[in-house]
Amino acid sequence: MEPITGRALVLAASAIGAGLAMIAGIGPGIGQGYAAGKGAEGVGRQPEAQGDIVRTMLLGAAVAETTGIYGLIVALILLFANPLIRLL
Amino acid sequence: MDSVKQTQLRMLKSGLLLNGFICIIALVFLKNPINFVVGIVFGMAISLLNFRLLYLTLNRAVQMPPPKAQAYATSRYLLRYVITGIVVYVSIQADYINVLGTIAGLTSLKLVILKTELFNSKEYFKNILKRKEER
Repeated sequence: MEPITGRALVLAASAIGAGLAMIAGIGPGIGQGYAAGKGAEGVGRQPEAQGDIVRTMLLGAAVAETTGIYGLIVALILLFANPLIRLL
Repeated sequence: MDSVKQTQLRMLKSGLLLNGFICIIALVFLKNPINFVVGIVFGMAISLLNFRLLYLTLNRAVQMPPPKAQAYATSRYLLRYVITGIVVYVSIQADYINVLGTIAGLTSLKLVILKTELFNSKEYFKNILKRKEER
């Protein structure tokens, strides 16, 4: 059996780290869906407030989405532009 | 309270202003600023288009029944997520785009929203250290 090289170990750990980082993308999706459902309930109850509801949801969802983007960036950098390989 | 259209226009203007400011700083201080500026323009364009797509999604979702709205908003979120992933991947692979510039452009919208909507009251900052009874 061949010994595990440092490079292979770093690549394997990076792949696992990328997978873990992608978990960050699930939360905003669930949150946005939940907010949209509640927003639809609110508009059904009070149709004249649609503009305010959409505006508030828009700003909240845009801020929440950035958190998912951070996770995605970390995952893609670990996979395709890994800075840890250069340290070996 | 502003209308949704006014809010979007304000976000667009503030985003352009912030990213223009970052571009000027990059032009002055960086050795190879063109790649960074291209990255910022790329990221900002996708970020603003994503914001518009988010508005169209939510505007349609609030007119649906709640369970359907939930599924619709989540599926559209995944679509935007994939678009963002493609953008970051392209900027990593392309030599003429700086990935840090793209990331700055993509996340600048969050800073703009926080600045214009949350931290926009001077009174809040003046009274931040005062007790509630003293205000």
